[in-house]
Amino acid sequence: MDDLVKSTNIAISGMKVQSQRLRVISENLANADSTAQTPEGLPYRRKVVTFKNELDRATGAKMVKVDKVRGDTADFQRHYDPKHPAADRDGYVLTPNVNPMIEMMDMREAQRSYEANMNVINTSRSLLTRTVEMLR
Amino acid sequence: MYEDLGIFRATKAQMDWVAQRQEVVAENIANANTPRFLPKDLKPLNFKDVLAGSTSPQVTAVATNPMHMVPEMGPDPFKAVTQRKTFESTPDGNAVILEEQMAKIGEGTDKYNAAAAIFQKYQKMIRTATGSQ
Repeated sequence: MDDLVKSTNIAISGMKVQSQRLRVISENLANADSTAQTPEGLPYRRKVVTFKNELDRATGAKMVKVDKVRGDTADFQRHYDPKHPAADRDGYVLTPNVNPMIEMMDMREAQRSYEANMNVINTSRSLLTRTVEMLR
Repeated sequence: MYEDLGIFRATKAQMDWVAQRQEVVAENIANANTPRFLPKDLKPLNFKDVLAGSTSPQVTAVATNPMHMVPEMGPDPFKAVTQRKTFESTPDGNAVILEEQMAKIGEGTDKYNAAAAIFQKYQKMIRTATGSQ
């Protein structure tokens, strides 16, 4: 009984981190075209989420948490657009290092993981219900 | 009274095992995207051990002082082992395969329901024997 409640809590922590990941992905996608306003400025830098394990002292279960949201170190893309306010002397503009394809794939992965965690909650719940039914 | 009957002990062990495995699998699924995470699984439940009564926790902390707090539940009766050899792992070193874990969840549900059904059937049998409804 206790184990089933614990597994529900673990799955909830999994769902939480996946939704945080989804939030960062939407941030990346929304800013896929955010360039600087001046030639010296830098465009939007893609953010990456990493996860880590954390022991929940109350239950003794290993929960999952967002470790850090770091900036992607990949180089910015360059486009030739001399009329842009952020264009340098040669007419090139730095654009964010966001690749919409990668973000989409990341989003799918987050969705699948979220669904898997939801499945765990459903199953744990049905097992608990089954146990309660035995009392009838 | 139920603890003395073999069939109840066996079904209880099976249900405990599934419940604890569910927790281990939930941990694996929650960490499906954590770098360098290796999945864990419980050792399969051995019928012989259940009958011999060796699955219940044997070693517990001794309270040498009346002021010591005794844990209510005791340690987990079944051992979780890290799976070193897995089907595949991602470049960040995560070896959790969601399909595999989902299959384990489904398998657990079936085993749990089967054990619960056996438990109920025997309970009904005892009720019939004692003549109560």
